[in-house]
Amino acid sequence: MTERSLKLKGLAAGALAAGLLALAPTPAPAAPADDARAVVSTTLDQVLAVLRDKAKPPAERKQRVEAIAYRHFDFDTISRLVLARNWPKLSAKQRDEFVTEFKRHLSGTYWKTLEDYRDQKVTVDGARAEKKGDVTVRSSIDAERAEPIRMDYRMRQKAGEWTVIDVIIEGVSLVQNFRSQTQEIIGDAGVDGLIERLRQKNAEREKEQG
Amino acid sequence: MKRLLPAAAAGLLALGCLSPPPGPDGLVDPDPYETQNRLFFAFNDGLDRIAFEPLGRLWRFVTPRFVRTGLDNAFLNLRFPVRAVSCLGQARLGCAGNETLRFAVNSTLGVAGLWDASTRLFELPFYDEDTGQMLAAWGVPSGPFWMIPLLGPSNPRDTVGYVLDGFLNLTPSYAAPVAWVNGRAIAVPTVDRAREASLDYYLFVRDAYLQRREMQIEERGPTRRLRGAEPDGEAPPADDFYELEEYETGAAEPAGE
Repeated sequence: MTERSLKLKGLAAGALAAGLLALAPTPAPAAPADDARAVVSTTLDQVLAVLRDKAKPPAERKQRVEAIAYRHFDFDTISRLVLARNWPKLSAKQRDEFVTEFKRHLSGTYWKTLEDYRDQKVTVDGARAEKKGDVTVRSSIDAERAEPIRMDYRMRQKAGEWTVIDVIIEGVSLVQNFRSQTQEIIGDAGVDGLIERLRQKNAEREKEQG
Repeated sequence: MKRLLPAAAAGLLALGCLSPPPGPDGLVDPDPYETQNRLFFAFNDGLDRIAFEPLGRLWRFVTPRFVRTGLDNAFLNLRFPVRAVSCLGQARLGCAGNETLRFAVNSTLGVAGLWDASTRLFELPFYDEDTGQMLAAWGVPSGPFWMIPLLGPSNPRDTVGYVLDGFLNLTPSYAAPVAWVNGRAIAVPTVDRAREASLDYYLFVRDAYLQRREMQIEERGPTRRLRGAEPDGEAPPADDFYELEEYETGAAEPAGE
């Protein structure tokens, strides 16, 4: 077959495909809630696959889970929402420091929670539209206690990607919980005191984990 | 003692009507007794670390997981009148009927409640109601947050609820310590993580309690969602997540979001 005939064939195939596309009914755009739910569902599957792979050493599993989490958690938005009315008071340097230390804190403590995972069933239940185009995706995890633990994710679309901006465990929003903690700590010890406390917590935990 | 409790309950109910006065900025202080509360909290936390937590760890060590879950199922089953009465008190008949049916099924097929047959066999929903939530539905104000020695975070309304729940709970008093230790044993990893993840454990506990109670009070559907079930279609509950959103989209925010 000559190069020319290949090209022609390619063109014909292209035209055919274009024609078919034009003929095919355009799929209805999925509701944002469904989109966000799908993202949570696939991401949880990825994380659970890593956690179940007990053959891999813990350090490697931790690294893999972190890579997945960092792709899907929007730590900048989470930090802003947590500091809320205090955010404008922070200098650019303080903001950077806070986001860095808070991210370190969240991923460190979150990993310890995930380490407790013992193959319990995880179900993604439903999704609910929130203000500002956000979506809360609800999930639950079978637990040792009688009733499953409810874990919801508040998602926001950023540059076309759904990212997590809050985790709500048993009705307790992580953002709001840290907001009320940081507000009082900033009131008592100032922004630098807060950052210092985070830094200390991180150092202690990392020393413990070795 | 038995005669004293209703009187105490009535007294507390009156206390619950005393909402904390607004501060100079017009905002209600969520924790007007913080100094005393922190003191009681330190006492509770210390006692937990030297007594209840070690007991819980010991219980974890000597019992297999399915035993702890089974006991938790059984104690939850024995609390059925708490849920049924609280549903009735809110005129939620479906919820009351459901909880009664769950009790009948779990007490028989579920072998004294050790196995959650209603969920496993029939996928019955579950409504985690208590009398504190019922009082809230009646419009009884919560009163100020307070930390109770031994019992933990509460408020006047929930304290009355706790006493009423105690009357309605079918758990025999000799088994109550088992329920307590078993519950503490199950909570071991959760409490460990909470202590590590909090910047100030007292503030963490206070806020978690307040948020969780608010969610439970506002929630009208079943507590456990059925597998794959879509949300109830209710309007999202009012929350202050976006209360300060203007700061979030301040100058630091790149344009176009």
